[in-house]
Amino acid sequence: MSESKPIPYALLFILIIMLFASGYAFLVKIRPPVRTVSVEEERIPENAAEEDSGDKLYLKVYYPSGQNLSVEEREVERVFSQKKILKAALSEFLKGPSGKGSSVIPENTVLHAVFIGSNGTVYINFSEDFRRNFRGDAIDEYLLLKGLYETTIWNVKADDVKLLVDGKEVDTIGGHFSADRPLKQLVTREILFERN
Amino acid sequence: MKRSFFSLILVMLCASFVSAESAQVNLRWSKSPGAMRFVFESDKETIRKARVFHSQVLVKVEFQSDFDLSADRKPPDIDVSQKGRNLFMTIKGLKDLKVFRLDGPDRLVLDLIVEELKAPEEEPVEQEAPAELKNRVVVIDPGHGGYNSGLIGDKYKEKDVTLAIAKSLRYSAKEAGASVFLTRWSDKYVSLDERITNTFERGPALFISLHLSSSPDFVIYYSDVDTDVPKADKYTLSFVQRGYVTKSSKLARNMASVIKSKFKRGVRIRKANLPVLSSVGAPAILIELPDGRFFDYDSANRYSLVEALLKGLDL
Repeated sequence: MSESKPIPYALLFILIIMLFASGYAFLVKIRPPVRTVSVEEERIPENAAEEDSGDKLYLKVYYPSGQNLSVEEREVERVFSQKKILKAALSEFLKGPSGKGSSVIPENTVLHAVFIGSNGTVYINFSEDFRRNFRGDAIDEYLLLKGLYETTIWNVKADDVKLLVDGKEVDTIGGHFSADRPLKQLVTREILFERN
Repeated sequence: MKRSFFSLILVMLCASFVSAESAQVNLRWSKSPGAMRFVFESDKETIRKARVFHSQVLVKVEFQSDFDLSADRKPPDIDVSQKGRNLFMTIKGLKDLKVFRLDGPDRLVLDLIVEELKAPEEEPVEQEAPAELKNRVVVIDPGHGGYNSGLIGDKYKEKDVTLAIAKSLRYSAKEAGASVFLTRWSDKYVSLDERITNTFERGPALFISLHLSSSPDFVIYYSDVDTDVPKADKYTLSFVQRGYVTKSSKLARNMASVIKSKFKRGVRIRKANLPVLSSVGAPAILIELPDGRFFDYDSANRYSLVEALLKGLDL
């Protein structure tokens, strides 16, 4: 009876080793990786919009207009946080241009959040409506993205703008230009028109 | 008790063996003037964790585990060897390497710019202008699809109009002797990267992307070289595409001329480095057809349109 004891101990040892091996295999090789995007939030530096005095804040908002951008000055209640200034500017952007006429700003879009990444890139998180409700051709899409970029960098000091939809990167907004990378590289290239 | 204990050990052993199984990696490649493209297809984890290193003569792809490599054919002028988890490709005069990953299926794509294959930068080598495209490959890209409807009118959606016209154009081009491929065949969204990669892999003689404009006019886009941007990116023309700038411009002008005479409508030509025009490895244009509010897409007009597009493609 006593001679048979070493065998269960050996088996118990093998069992423990196998449990560790299986656990490692599950965690490292079988379980799908959890992909997280960390965005560091920080204070946005001083900007042109904050220099205004009094109870009002004056923002500049850039809208697609024909084959160019037009700029409108909007007066809003003064806010002191840079993040709130940016939110105010983007809210004005989403309202569309003043006056009657069609606009390519996607309807019913909700601004979920804004962040500043450690690299100075502003992350703008819109609702899915921004993508779903966009109706326009290539030049409209280009000007929409350019207007968003210009509105952002005029009102707060930022290096670049990254667009997210419901918290995720998207391939494109309107099917012509890529939206899965920051906008600066796209909007700093002009579309050239030829006369023929 | 003992039996169940041994069964448990056996199951765990099997689990360990399964997790340590070699990954299957399938290699495909294509070649065009100035560049080679290598596409590694495998499971998501293998593709995601693969790392790429390179020097002027060597490209090393390091996978996370051992792998079984299969290839449909051997690439010319490049020595490919496998050692453990690493794949080595020896290439003379490697000038540049672009790496990107795609899904559905999961792929690791390497674009190699090689000195020996490269055309001189100052004077890009143009492909011979085809008098006709019989037996040549044409890729047609119907814009939008799936959730991305594009422009929506009272009676139409842009994604449906572009697909219908693409299919008609394909039929007519095939009749004329060309091999024609579409980047999508149904109402399905295909990402811009997938459209580019799938087109490049076909090695086309011509590429045309179909969209609608929100104006009454036709608008034709082609890509030009960015001279002021040193770093290559999605909006900078790829090196391989630089050899097709003049041909793309000629294609745009030819198309504009045919459409103008056929429909007596305004045709605008624009230069813009749209992603689908930036690296397909062929003369490429994106044409926006008039908005449905200003142009009736009935069968007669569609027939005329396809006829004009075919003529504009110099078929």
